[in-house]
Amino acid sequence: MTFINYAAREINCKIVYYGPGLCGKTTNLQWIYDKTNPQAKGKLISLATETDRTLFFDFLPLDLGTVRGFKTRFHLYTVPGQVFYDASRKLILKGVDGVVFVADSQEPRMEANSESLLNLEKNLKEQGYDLRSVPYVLQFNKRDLPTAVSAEDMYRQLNFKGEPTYEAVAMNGTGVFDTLKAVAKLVLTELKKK
Amino acid sequence: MEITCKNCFSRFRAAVQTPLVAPVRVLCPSCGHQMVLKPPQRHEQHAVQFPTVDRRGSIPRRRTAAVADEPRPFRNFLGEHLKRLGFDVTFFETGEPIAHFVRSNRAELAIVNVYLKGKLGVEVTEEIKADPLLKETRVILIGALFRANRFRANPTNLYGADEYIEEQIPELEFSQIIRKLFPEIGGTVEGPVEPVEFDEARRLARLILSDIVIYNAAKVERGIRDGTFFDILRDEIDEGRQYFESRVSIRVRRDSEIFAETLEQFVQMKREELERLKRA
Repeated sequence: MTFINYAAREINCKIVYYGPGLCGKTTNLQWIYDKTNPQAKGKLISLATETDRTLFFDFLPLDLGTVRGFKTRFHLYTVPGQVFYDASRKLILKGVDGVVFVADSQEPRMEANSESLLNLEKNLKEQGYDLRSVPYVLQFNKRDLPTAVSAEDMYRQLNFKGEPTYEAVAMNGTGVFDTLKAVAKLVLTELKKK
Repeated sequence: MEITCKNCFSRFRAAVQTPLVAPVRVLCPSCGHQMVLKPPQRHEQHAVQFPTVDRRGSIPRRRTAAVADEPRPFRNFLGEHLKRLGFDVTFFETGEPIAHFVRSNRAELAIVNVYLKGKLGVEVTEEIKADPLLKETRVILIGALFRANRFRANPTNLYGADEYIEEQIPELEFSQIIRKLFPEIGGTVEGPVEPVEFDEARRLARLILSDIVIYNAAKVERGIRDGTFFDILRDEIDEGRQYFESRVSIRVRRDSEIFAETLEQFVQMKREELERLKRA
Protein backbone atom coordinates (compact mmCIF):
# COMPACT_ATOMS: atom_id res chain seq x y z
CA MET A 1 0.00 0.00 0.00
CA THR A 2 1.31 3.44 -0.92
CA PHE A 3 2.57 5.37 2.08
CA ILE A 4 2.03 9.13 1.88
CA ASN A 5 3.91 11.32 4.32
CA TYR A 6 2.10 14.68 4.20
CA ALA A 7 4.51 16.39 6.57
CA ALA A 8 7.50 15.53 4.45
CA ARG A 9 5.39 15.76 1.27
CA GLU A 10 6.66 12.39 0.25
CA ILE A 11 4.98 9.39 -1.41
CA ASN A 12 6.47 5.95 -0.89
CA CYS A 13 5.53 3.18 -3.31
CA LYS A 14 6.56 -0.43 -3.30
CA ILE A 15 7.40 -2.24 -6.53
CA VAL A 16 8.21 -5.92 -6.51
CA TYR A 17 10.21 -7.69 -9.21
CA TYR A 18 8.84 -11.20 -9.40
CA GLY A 19 9.84 -14.19 -11.53
CA PRO A 20 11.46 -17.64 -11.54
CA GLY A 21 14.93 -18.30 -10.20
CA LEU A 22 17.84 -16.69 -12.03
CA CYS A 23 15.57 -14.86 -14.49
CA GLY A 24 17.36 -11.55 -13.89
CA LYS A 25 15.42 -9.72 -11.18
CA THR A 26 18.51 -8.80 -9.22
CA THR A 27 20.31 -7.89 -12.45
CA ASN A 28 17.49 -5.43 -13.22
CA LEU A 29 17.94 -3.78 -9.83
CA GLN A 30 21.70 -3.82 -10.12
CA TRP A 31 21.53 -2.03 -13.47
CA ILE A 32 19.10 0.56 -12.12
CA TYR A 33 21.37 1.11 -9.15
CA ASP A 34 24.49 1.43 -11.30
CA LYS A 35 22.94 3.90 -13.72
CA THR A 36 21.07 6.12 -11.31
CA ASN A 37 22.25 9.46 -10.04
CA PRO A 38 23.74 8.94 -6.55
CA GLN A 39 21.44 11.66 -5.11
CA ALA A 40 18.38 9.78 -6.31
CA LYS A 41 19.14 6.42 -4.80
CA GLY A 42 19.73 4.79 -1.48
CA LYS A 43 21.84 1.80 -0.67
CA LEU A 44 21.22 -1.40 -2.60
CA ILE A 45 20.71 -4.19 -0.12
CA SER A 46 21.19 -7.58 -1.65
CA LEU A 47 21.24 -10.89 0.17
CA ALA A 48 22.56 -13.14 -2.55
CA THR A 49 24.84 -16.15 -2.32
CA GLU A 50 27.81 -17.14 -4.44
CA THR A 51 25.43 -18.97 -6.76
CA ASP A 52 23.44 -15.77 -7.40
CA ARG A 53 20.60 -17.19 -5.40
CA THR A 54 18.65 -14.38 -3.72
CA LEU A 55 18.02 -15.62 -0.24
CA PHE A 56 15.49 -13.14 0.93
CA PHE A 57 15.20 -10.02 -1.17
CA ASP A 58 16.99 -7.10 -2.76
CA PHE A 59 15.96 -3.60 -1.86
CA LEU A 60 16.64 -0.33 -3.63
CA PRO A 61 15.06 3.01 -2.68
CA LEU A 62 14.80 5.30 -5.66
CA ASP A 63 13.55 8.88 -6.11
CA LEU A 64 11.58 9.46 -9.30
CA GLY A 65 10.80 13.17 -9.27
CA THR A 66 7.73 14.91 -7.92
CA VAL A 67 4.00 14.47 -8.44
CA ARG A 68 1.79 17.43 -7.46
CA GLY A 69 4.47 18.71 -5.13
CA PHE A 70 5.08 15.35 -3.51
CA LYS A 71 8.45 13.71 -3.80
CA THR A 72 7.92 10.16 -5.06
CA ARG A 73 10.17 7.51 -3.58
CA PHE A 74 9.98 4.04 -5.02
CA HIS A 75 11.12 1.06 -3.03
CA LEU A 76 12.19 -1.65 -5.41
CA TYR A 77 12.22 -5.21 -4.13
CA THR A 78 13.02 -8.54 -5.66
CA VAL A 79 11.84 -11.89 -4.39
CA PRO A 80 13.77 -15.14 -4.22
CA GLY A 81 12.75 -16.98 -7.36
CA GLN A 82 13.33 -20.61 -6.46
CA VAL A 83 10.21 -22.60 -5.80
CA PHE A 84 11.41 -23.30 -2.24
CA TYR A 85 11.08 -19.75 -0.98
CA ASP A 86 7.36 -19.21 -1.20
CA ALA A 87 7.03 -17.93 2.37
CA SER A 88 9.54 -15.14 1.64
CA ARG A 89 7.74 -14.20 -1.54
CA LYS A 90 4.43 -13.89 0.27
CA LEU A 91 6.00 -11.67 2.88
CA ILE A 92 7.64 -9.37 0.35
CA LEU A 93 4.38 -8.94 -1.57
CA LYS A 94 2.72 -7.36 1.45
CA GLY A 95 1.76 -3.78 0.71
CA VAL A 96 2.83 -3.97 -2.94
CA ASP A 97 1.86 -1.11 -5.28
CA GLY A 98 3.18 -2.49 -8.54
CA VAL A 99 4.65 -5.69 -9.90
CA VAL A 100 7.19 -6.41 -12.61
CA PHE A 101 7.20 -10.00 -13.74
CA VAL A 102 10.59 -10.90 -15.19
CA ALA A 103 10.31 -13.95 -17.44
CA ASP A 104 13.32 -15.99 -18.52
CA SER A 105 13.28 -16.35 -22.31
CA GLN A 106 15.12 -19.68 -22.34
CA GLU A 107 12.98 -22.54 -23.57
CA PRO A 108 13.78 -24.87 -20.63
CA ARG A 109 12.52 -22.20 -18.23
CA MET A 110 9.12 -21.66 -19.80
CA GLU A 111 7.43 -24.01 -17.36
CA ALA A 112 9.16 -22.21 -14.49
CA ASN A 113 7.84 -18.90 -15.88
CA SER A 114 4.28 -20.17 -15.96
CA GLU A 115 4.55 -21.65 -12.50
CA SER A 116 6.00 -18.43 -11.09
CA LEU A 117 3.22 -16.40 -12.69
CA LEU A 118 0.59 -18.68 -11.17
CA ASN A 119 2.40 -18.40 -7.87
CA LEU A 120 2.32 -14.60 -8.13
CA GLU A 121 -1.39 -14.62 -8.81
CA LYS A 122 -2.03 -16.98 -5.89
CA ASN A 123 0.16 -15.07 -3.45
CA LEU A 124 -1.38 -11.72 -4.43
CA LYS A 125 -4.82 -13.19 -3.92
CA GLU A 126 -3.82 -14.31 -0.43
CA GLN A 127 -2.89 -10.68 0.32
CA GLY A 128 -6.22 -9.48 -1.00
CA TYR A 129 -4.93 -8.26 -4.38
CA ASP A 130 -6.01 -9.18 -7.86
CA LEU A 131 -3.32 -9.40 -10.51
CA ARG A 132 -5.83 -8.08 -13.02
CA SER A 133 -6.11 -4.79 -11.17
CA VAL A 134 -2.62 -4.38 -9.67
CA PRO A 135 -0.25 -2.16 -11.75
CA TYR A 136 1.67 -4.81 -13.57
CA VAL A 137 4.36 -4.97 -16.26
CA LEU A 138 5.81 -8.00 -18.02
CA GLN A 139 9.44 -8.25 -19.06
CA PHE A 140 10.95 -10.91 -21.33
CA ASN A 141 14.55 -11.02 -20.19
CA LYS A 142 17.60 -12.71 -21.74
CA ARG A 143 16.47 -11.98 -25.28
CA ASP A 144 20.10 -12.25 -26.43
CA LEU A 145 20.37 -15.98 -25.68
CA PRO A 146 20.32 -18.40 -28.62
CA THR A 147 17.81 -20.65 -26.83
CA ALA A 148 15.31 -17.80 -26.39
CA VAL A 149 11.71 -18.62 -27.26
CA SER A 150 10.15 -16.17 -29.74
CA ALA A 151 8.63 -13.09 -28.11
CA GLU A 152 5.29 -13.92 -29.80
CA ASP A 153 5.17 -17.35 -28.15
CA MET A 154 6.11 -15.88 -24.79
CA TYR A 155 3.49 -13.20 -25.13
CA ARG A 156 0.87 -15.82 -25.97
CA GLN A 157 1.83 -17.88 -22.96
CA LEU A 158 2.50 -15.23 -20.33
CA ASN A 159 0.59 -12.06 -21.17
CA PHE A 160 -2.93 -12.44 -19.91
CA LYS A 161 -4.47 -8.97 -19.67
CA GLY A 162 -2.64 -6.94 -22.31
CA GLU A 163 -0.20 -5.56 -19.76
CA PRO A 164 2.75 -3.51 -21.05
CA THR A 165 5.44 -5.96 -22.13
CA TYR A 166 9.12 -5.29 -22.76
CA GLU A 167 11.93 -7.32 -24.23
CA ALA A 168 15.11 -6.97 -22.22
CA VAL A 169 18.70 -7.98 -21.74
CA ALA A 170 19.20 -6.90 -18.15
CA MET A 171 22.92 -7.67 -18.29
CA ASN A 172 23.46 -4.75 -20.69
CA GLY A 173 20.50 -2.67 -19.54
CA THR A 174 18.31 -3.16 -22.58
CA GLY A 175 14.68 -2.69 -21.58
CA VAL A 176 15.46 -2.24 -17.88
CA PHE A 177 14.49 1.42 -17.56
CA ASP A 178 11.59 1.04 -20.01
CA THR A 179 10.15 -1.57 -17.69
CA LEU A 180 10.71 0.54 -14.59
CA LYS A 181 9.18 3.64 -16.18
CA ALA A 182 6.14 1.66 -17.31
CA VAL A 183 5.42 0.23 -13.89
CA ALA A 184 6.09 3.56 -12.18
CA LYS A 185 3.66 5.24 -14.55
CA LEU A 186 0.98 2.65 -13.80
CA VAL A 187 1.52 3.02 -10.06
CA LEU A 188 1.29 6.80 -10.24
CA THR A 189 -1.81 6.63 -12.44
CA GLU A 190 -3.38 4.36 -9.87
CA LEU A 191 -2.35 6.77 -7.14
CA LYS A 192 -3.96 9.70 -8.91
CA LYS A 193 -7.23 7.77 -9.08
CA LYS A 194 -7.24 7.64 -5.29
CA MET B 1 -4.38 -84.11 37.22
CA GLU B 2 -4.49 -80.97 39.41
CA ILE B 3 -7.81 -79.16 39.40
CA THR B 4 -8.96 -75.86 40.89
CA CYS B 5 -12.52 -75.78 42.17
CA LYS B 6 -14.52 -73.02 40.49
CA ASN B 7 -16.65 -72.65 43.64
CA CYS B 8 -14.22 -72.60 46.60
CA PHE B 9 -10.95 -72.26 44.60
CA SER B 10 -9.32 -75.07 46.55
CA ARG B 11 -6.87 -77.23 44.63
CA PHE B 12 -7.06 -81.00 44.55
CA ARG B 13 -5.74 -83.88 42.51
CA ALA B 14 -8.09 -86.19 40.61
CA ALA B 15 -7.27 -89.55 39.05
CA VAL B 16 -8.15 -88.50 35.52
CA GLN B 17 -6.29 -89.68 32.45
CA THR B 18 -4.83 -86.84 30.36
CA PRO B 19 -5.23 -85.68 27.74
CA LEU B 20 -8.96 -85.97 28.11
CA VAL B 21 -10.68 -87.74 25.27
CA ALA B 22 -14.20 -87.39 26.66
CA PRO B 23 -15.98 -85.17 29.22
CA VAL B 24 -15.36 -86.21 32.85
CA ARG B 25 -17.45 -85.30 35.87
CA VAL B 26 -15.51 -84.53 39.13
CA LEU B 27 -16.52 -83.49 42.67
CA CYS B 28 -14.59 -81.02 44.80
CA PRO B 29 -13.48 -82.84 48.00
CA SER B 30 -13.72 -79.57 50.00
CA CYS B 31 -17.14 -78.18 49.06
CA GLY B 32 -18.71 -80.96 47.03
CA HIS B 33 -19.11 -78.72 43.95
CA GLN B 34 -19.61 -80.71 40.77
CA MET B 35 -17.62 -79.82 37.64
CA VAL B 36 -17.42 -81.20 34.12
CA LEU B 37 -13.97 -81.32 32.55
CA LYS B 38 -14.12 -81.18 28.77
CA PRO B 39 -11.37 -82.31 26.40
CA PRO B 40 -9.65 -79.42 24.63
CA GLN B 41 -10.89 -78.56 21.17
CA ARG B 42 -8.73 -79.81 18.31
CA HIS B 43 -7.30 -76.44 17.32
CA GLU B 44 -6.03 -75.82 20.86
CA GLN B 45 -3.78 -78.84 20.53
CA HIS B 46 -1.97 -77.17 17.63
CA ALA B 47 -1.76 -73.65 18.95
CA VAL B 48 1.97 -73.50 18.42
CA GLN B 49 1.58 -73.85 14.66
CA PHE B 50 -0.08 -70.51 14.21
CA PRO B 51 1.56 -67.12 14.13
CA THR B 52 0.92 -64.65 16.92
CA VAL B 53 1.34 -60.92 16.82
CA ASP B 54 3.79 -59.17 19.10
CA ARG B 55 2.20 -55.86 20.06
CA ARG B 56 4.98 -54.64 22.34
CA GLY B 57 6.31 -51.22 21.61
CA SER B 58 3.98 -50.56 18.71
CA ILE B 59 3.21 -46.88 19.07
CA PRO B 60 0.78 -45.88 17.70
CA ARG B 61 -0.88 -49.22 18.31
CA ARG B 62 -1.52 -51.18 15.17
CA ARG B 63 -4.62 -53.31 15.03
CA THR B 64 -4.59 -56.98 14.22
CA ALA B 65 -6.45 -58.25 11.20
CA ALA B 66 -6.75 -61.72 9.75
CA VAL B 67 -7.85 -62.37 6.19
CA ALA B 68 -8.88 -65.80 4.97
CA ASP B 69 -9.31 -66.09 1.25
CA GLU B 70 -7.67 -67.70 -1.74
CA PRO B 71 -4.22 -66.30 -2.47
CA ARG B 72 -5.33 -63.98 -5.25
CA PRO B 73 -4.92 -60.27 -6.14
CA PHE B 74 -8.08 -59.40 -4.24
CA ARG B 75 -6.58 -60.74 -1.02
CA ASN B 76 -3.47 -58.65 -1.62
CA PHE B 77 -5.65 -55.61 -2.27
CA LEU B 78 -7.36 -56.10 1.09
CA GLY B 79 -4.02 -56.63 2.85
CA GLU B 80 -2.39 -53.57 1.35
CA HIS B 81 -5.30 -51.34 2.17
CA LEU B 82 -5.60 -52.62 5.72
CA LYS B 83 -1.88 -51.98 6.29
CA ARG B 84 -2.36 -48.39 5.20
CA LEU B 85 -5.18 -48.06 7.69
CA GLY B 86 -2.94 -49.23 10.52
CA PHE B 87 -3.54 -52.99 10.66
CA ASP B 88 -1.04 -55.80 10.94
CA VAL B 89 -2.42 -58.35 8.54
CA THR B 90 -2.04 -62.14 8.57
CA PHE B 91 -3.33 -64.23 5.69
CA PHE B 92 -4.99 -67.65 5.79
CA GLU B 93 -6.47 -69.91 3.18
CA THR B 94 -8.68 -72.11 5.32
CA GLY B 95 -11.19 -71.64 8.12
CA GLU B 96 -9.69 -73.49 11.06
CA PRO B 97 -6.39 -71.56 11.34
CA ILE B 98 -8.01 -68.12 11.06
CA ALA B 99 -10.52 -68.99 13.78
CA HIS B 100 -7.67 -70.02 16.03
CA PHE B 101 -5.59 -66.97 15.18
CA VAL B 102 -8.46 -64.59 15.94
CA ARG B 103 -9.02 -66.26 19.30
CA SER B 104 -5.38 -66.43 20.37
CA ASN B 105 -4.54 -62.88 19.26
CA ARG B 106 -7.86 -61.21 20.07
CA ALA B 107 -7.75 -59.92 16.51
CA GLU B 108 -9.83 -56.79 16.00
CA LEU B 109 -10.81 -57.70 12.47
CA ALA B 110 -11.44 -60.91 10.58
CA ILE B 111 -12.24 -60.92 6.90
CA VAL B 112 -13.33 -64.33 5.73
CA ASN B 113 -14.53 -65.71 2.46
CA VAL B 114 -17.97 -67.23 2.79
CA TYR B 115 -16.61 -70.45 1.36
CA LEU B 116 -13.39 -71.74 2.86
CA LYS B 117 -11.99 -75.24 2.79
CA GLY B 118 -12.69 -77.22 5.96
CA LYS B 119 -14.51 -74.78 8.16
CA LEU B 120 -16.74 -72.47 6.11
CA GLY B 121 -16.39 -68.70 6.43
CA VAL B 122 -19.90 -68.47 7.80
CA GLU B 123 -19.01 -71.04 10.47
CA VAL B 124 -15.91 -69.05 11.42
CA THR B 125 -18.11 -65.97 11.69
CA GLU B 126 -20.63 -67.72 13.92
CA GLU B 127 -17.84 -69.07 16.10
CA ILE B 128 -16.25 -65.65 16.57
CA LYS B 129 -19.55 -63.96 17.25
CA ALA B 130 -20.51 -66.62 19.79
CA ASP B 131 -17.31 -66.12 21.82
CA PRO B 132 -17.80 -63.46 24.53
CA LEU B 133 -14.06 -62.84 24.63
CA LEU B 134 -14.21 -61.75 21.01
CA LYS B 135 -17.02 -59.27 21.33
CA GLU B 136 -14.70 -56.50 20.04
CA THR B 137 -13.80 -58.47 16.93
CA ARG B 138 -15.42 -57.24 13.74
CA VAL B 139 -16.09 -59.72 10.98
CA ILE B 140 -16.47 -59.03 7.29
CA LEU B 141 -17.70 -61.73 4.95
CA ILE B 142 -16.44 -61.91 1.40
CA GLY B 143 -18.97 -63.07 -1.15
CA ALA B 144 -17.83 -66.24 -2.87
CA LEU B 145 -18.75 -65.03 -6.34
CA PHE B 146 -18.91 -61.65 -7.94
CA ARG B 147 -21.74 -61.56 -10.41
CA ALA B 148 -22.19 -57.87 -11.11
CA ASN B 149 -22.76 -58.63 -14.77
CA ARG B 150 -25.56 -61.07 -14.07
CA PHE B 151 -27.40 -60.05 -10.98
CA ARG B 152 -26.71 -58.37 -7.71
CA ALA B 153 -28.51 -59.22 -4.49
CA ASN B 154 -27.50 -58.40 -0.97
CA PRO B 155 -27.38 -61.44 1.30
CA THR B 156 -30.30 -61.70 3.68
CA ASN B 157 -28.28 -63.43 6.39
CA LEU B 158 -24.73 -62.45 7.32
CA TYR B 159 -24.44 -65.15 10.01
CA GLY B 160 -23.59 -62.46 12.52
CA ALA B 161 -20.92 -60.75 10.41
CA ASP B 162 -20.71 -56.98 10.68
CA GLU B 163 -20.29 -56.35 6.97
CA TYR B 164 -20.33 -58.04 3.62
CA ILE B 165 -18.09 -57.25 0.65
CA GLU B 166 -17.56 -58.64 -2.80
CA GLU B 167 -14.52 -58.78 -5.01
CA GLN B 168 -13.91 -55.64 -7.05
CA ILE B 169 -15.10 -53.43 -4.23
CA PRO B 170 -13.67 -49.96 -4.90
CA GLU B 171 -10.86 -48.88 -2.56
CA LEU B 172 -12.92 -45.93 -1.34
CA GLU B 173 -15.89 -48.09 -0.45
CA PHE B 174 -13.73 -50.61 1.38
CA SER B 175 -12.06 -47.78 3.28
CA GLN B 176 -15.48 -46.42 4.29
CA ILE B 177 -16.54 -49.81 5.62
CA ILE B 178 -13.39 -50.15 7.72
CA ARG B 179 -13.75 -46.63 9.09
CA LYS B 180 -17.38 -47.31 9.91
CA LEU B 181 -16.38 -50.41 11.89
CA PHE B 182 -13.42 -48.63 13.50
CA PRO B 183 -14.45 -44.99 13.89
CA GLU B 184 -11.39 -44.36 16.08
CA ILE B 185 -9.19 -44.71 12.99
CA GLY B 186 -10.42 -41.22 12.20
CA GLY B 187 -9.14 -39.05 9.39
CA THR B 188 -10.92 -38.39 6.21
CA VAL B 189 -11.93 -41.12 3.90
CA GLU B 190 -9.27 -41.48 1.26
CA GLY B 191 -10.43 -41.54 -2.29
CA PRO B 192 -8.26 -42.83 -5.07
CA VAL B 193 -5.50 -40.43 -6.05
CA GLU B 194 -6.67 -38.30 -8.94
CA PRO B 195 -4.45 -38.25 -12.05
CA VAL B 196 -4.21 -34.47 -11.72
CA GLU B 197 -2.43 -34.91 -8.37
CA PHE B 198 0.24 -36.97 -10.09
CA ASP B 199 0.48 -34.36 -12.86
CA GLU B 200 0.96 -31.59 -10.32
CA ALA B 201 3.59 -33.60 -8.47
CA ARG B 202 5.45 -34.27 -11.74
CA ARG B 203 5.29 -30.59 -12.61
CA LEU B 204 6.67 -29.63 -9.21
CA ALA B 205 9.46 -32.19 -9.54
CA ARG B 206 10.36 -30.75 -12.96
CA LEU B 207 10.38 -27.21 -11.54
CA ILE B 208 12.62 -28.17 -8.64
CA LEU B 209 14.96 -29.96 -11.03
CA SER B 210 14.92 -26.97 -13.37
CA ASP B 211 15.96 -24.73 -10.47
CA ILE B 212 18.74 -27.13 -9.47
CA VAL B 213 20.00 -27.20 -13.05
CA ILE B 214 19.94 -23.46 -13.64
CA TYR B 215 21.67 -22.61 -10.37
CA ASN B 216 24.28 -25.34 -10.70
CA ALA B 217 24.94 -25.51 -14.41
CA ALA B 218 28.67 -26.33 -14.10
CA LYS B 219 28.12 -29.00 -11.47
CA VAL B 220 25.35 -30.57 -13.50
CA GLU B 221 27.50 -30.71 -16.61
CA ARG B 222 30.36 -32.27 -14.67
CA GLY B 223 28.04 -34.71 -12.91
CA ILE B 224 26.57 -35.93 -16.20
CA ARG B 225 29.98 -36.21 -17.83
CA ASP B 226 31.61 -38.07 -14.91
CA GLY B 227 28.56 -40.06 -13.82
CA THR B 228 28.62 -38.31 -10.43
CA PHE B 229 25.44 -36.26 -10.79
CA PHE B 230 23.79 -37.66 -7.68
CA ASP B 231 26.96 -37.35 -5.58
CA ILE B 232 28.09 -33.83 -6.34
CA LEU B 233 24.55 -32.46 -6.20
CA ARG B 234 23.53 -34.40 -3.12
CA ASP B 235 22.80 -31.31 -1.00
CA GLU B 236 20.74 -29.62 -3.69
CA ILE B 237 18.84 -32.84 -4.42
CA ASP B 238 18.15 -33.40 -0.72
CA GLU B 239 16.90 -29.84 -0.39
CA GLY B 240 14.70 -30.34 -3.44
CA ARG B 241 13.37 -33.65 -2.21
CA GLN B 242 12.50 -32.17 1.18
CA TYR B 243 10.58 -29.39 -0.48
CA PHE B 244 8.87 -31.85 -2.82
CA GLU B 245 7.81 -33.99 0.13
CA SER B 246 6.50 -30.95 1.97
CA ARG B 247 4.30 -30.04 -0.97
CA VAL B 248 3.12 -33.41 -2.28
CA SER B 249 0.64 -35.50 -0.35
CA ILE B 250 1.80 -38.77 1.14
CA ARG B 251 -0.85 -40.56 -0.90
CA VAL B 252 0.84 -39.52 -4.13
CA ARG B 253 4.34 -40.22 -2.81
CA ARG B 254 3.29 -43.60 -1.44
CA ASP B 255 2.23 -44.83 -4.86
CA SER B 256 5.05 -43.39 -6.92
CA GLU B 257 8.65 -42.25 -7.02
CA ILE B 258 7.99 -39.12 -9.02
CA PHE B 259 10.88 -37.04 -7.73
CA ALA B 260 13.47 -39.79 -8.18
CA GLU B 261 12.07 -40.73 -11.59
CA THR B 262 12.24 -37.12 -12.76
CA LEU B 263 15.92 -36.91 -11.82
CA GLU B 264 16.67 -40.28 -13.42
CA GLN B 265 14.95 -39.29 -16.64
CA PHE B 266 16.84 -36.02 -16.76
CA VAL B 267 20.21 -37.70 -16.20
CA GLN B 268 19.38 -40.33 -18.81
CA MET B 269 18.36 -37.67 -21.34
CA LYS B 270 21.51 -35.64 -20.72
CA ARG B 271 23.71 -38.74 -21.01
CA GLU B 272 22.14 -39.57 -24.35
CA GLU B 273 22.68 -35.99 -25.51
CA LEU B 274 26.31 -36.24 -24.48
CA GLU B 275 26.71 -39.56 -26.33
CA ARG B 276 25.22 -38.05 -29.46
CA LEU B 277 27.60 -35.12 -29.25
CA LYS B 278 30.57 -37.45 -28.80
CA ARG B 279 29.57 -39.50 -31.83
CA ALA B 280 29.08 -36.37 -33.91
